[in-house]
Amino acid sequence: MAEKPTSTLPTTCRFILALWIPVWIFFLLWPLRKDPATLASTFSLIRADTEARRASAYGEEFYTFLRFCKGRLPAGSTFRLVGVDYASIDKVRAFYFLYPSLVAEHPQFILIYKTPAYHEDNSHAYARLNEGSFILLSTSPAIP
Amino acid sequence: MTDIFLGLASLAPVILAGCFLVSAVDYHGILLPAERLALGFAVGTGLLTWEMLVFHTFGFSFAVIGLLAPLIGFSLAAFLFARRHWLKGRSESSLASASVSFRRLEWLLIAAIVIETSAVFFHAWLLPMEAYDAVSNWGLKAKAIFLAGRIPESFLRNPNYEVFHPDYPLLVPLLESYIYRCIGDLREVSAKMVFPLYLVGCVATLMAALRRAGQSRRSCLLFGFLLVSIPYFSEQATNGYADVVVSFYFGGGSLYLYLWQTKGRGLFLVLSALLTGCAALTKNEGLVLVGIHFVWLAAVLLSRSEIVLRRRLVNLGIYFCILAAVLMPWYLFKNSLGLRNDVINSEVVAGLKWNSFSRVGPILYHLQTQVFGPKNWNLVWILLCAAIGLRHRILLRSPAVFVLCAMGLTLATYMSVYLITPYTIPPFDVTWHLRTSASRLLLHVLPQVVFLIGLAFGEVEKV
Repeated sequence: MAEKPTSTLPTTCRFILALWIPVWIFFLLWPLRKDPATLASTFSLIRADTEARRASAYGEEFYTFLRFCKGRLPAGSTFRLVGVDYASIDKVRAFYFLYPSLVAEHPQFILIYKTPAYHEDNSHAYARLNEGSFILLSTSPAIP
Repeated sequence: MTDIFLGLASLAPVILAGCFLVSAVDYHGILLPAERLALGFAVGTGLLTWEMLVFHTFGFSFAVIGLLAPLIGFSLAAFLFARRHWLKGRSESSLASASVSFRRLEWLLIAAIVIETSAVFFHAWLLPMEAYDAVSNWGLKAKAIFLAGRIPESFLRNPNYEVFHPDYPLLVPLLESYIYRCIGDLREVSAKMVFPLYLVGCVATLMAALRRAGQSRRSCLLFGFLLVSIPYFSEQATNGYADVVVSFYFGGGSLYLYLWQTKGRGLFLVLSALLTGCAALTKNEGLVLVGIHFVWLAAVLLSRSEIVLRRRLVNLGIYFCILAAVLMPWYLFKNSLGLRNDVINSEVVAGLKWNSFSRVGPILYHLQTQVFGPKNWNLVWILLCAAIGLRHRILLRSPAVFVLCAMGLTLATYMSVYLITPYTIPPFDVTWHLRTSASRLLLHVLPQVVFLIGLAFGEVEKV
């Protein structure tokens, strides 16, 4: 079938485009108008390395804590998180980032985030990032 | 940019194998080059994950050469065997229109599509895996498979990770782990490149289907642009969620089933079965889509009294056998582990009571916010409503009505899940569940929605 070109688009198609394109452009530009810093942070991310990008996505403070934990946990260890909301995205990011260390109900290590007063029986300090974020080593037998 | 290159380079042999296989099936030379490439990618990735599941069953390792050699060998052999039997005077494509140069509007639409898809690749490249399901559901499993060099059964059985749906099919994690294995490193951004590729494939398949349905070239470009410029669709192709993958497989499965219905070519039936099977290898929702396509196929065959019984049974048999072959390795594996969904299972379904229907209000309210939600969907749902109202002679009659009914049935099934969902206590109630998942489910029918709008309002080719 050979196409026979016509000069103008049918009215319905032109009408659809006339409605669609303004909405498309508006919602492309609106986030920049609302928060101009988005553009600057995007440009800074272009130049950033993987670590800096992950820190930007996870949040600087939380990512520092996760890197600290990953550096301290022995390979194949088990852990439990304290101070991170159960339903939060931080929890799943921590589980993902710290794998192959595994989550357990009765773990070897208890990772405490921003909870300075936290203490648990049968455990002692293993490593400390700052006043509120640290790792406890459980002296109870670990159950995977 | 190295990440993008590594991701694409890892997928190149898989796409090649897919193209060989698609070309072997396309012995009349019907498919367009871009369509063949898109289908090669979709079928190749589906075949790779199917192969990985089979390898796991037989205890073979996931070494890259070990995976690629049989994949390319088999598809090349199928291609060469099929080529010997190709018909003489095989047409390259019945839709070839390369002789007509692009007009100004077409160039503008092509430019807009290229800009949108480039933006999707850019956003996917900009951030590592960080979105909720991208890390919890898909990324974590991909990491576990990559580090173990096989599917770690103990991890899938670990009750502490049950909330991450271990029963979900493994197409996306296996594909991501394959890319990690190819590169030899856990480069998340390279693995994320598969999602923009599915978006591009989706657009290419939609445009090819519209062209076959009699639309002009610029009309196909126009509706391709509409699809790719839907903000939520392009956004979901950047964050590592699997819904755009299901959109492609389900959309392709539906559109090729429609084309089989209108053109009667066996190639379209085979492609529909392959793509629908891959949808069920991607997410559990895919199994619903398999059922809906099967009902659609049966309804078409039963409604055509002129087709002899033997032919009807053969068509049904082909569809069923392809689906069974695609899905068997995953479901055998899943049953062997005794995995089941932690949210929707037989006890939850049995708990359906009359007062569950009080949730219809929040469900309809949520759907309404989507229809009138231009921030996410532009005007696509409003255009669909307008198309049904103004062009009911096209959309409410066969064959388009089958696409519409399949979409409606899909959405009705999806929404009925919210009647039984066990989330009852605020803030984790049905409103929360709708807010966090229902919009993504609407993506699964988006290619069909744009296709129907195209059929209703598009420019029919003049000859």
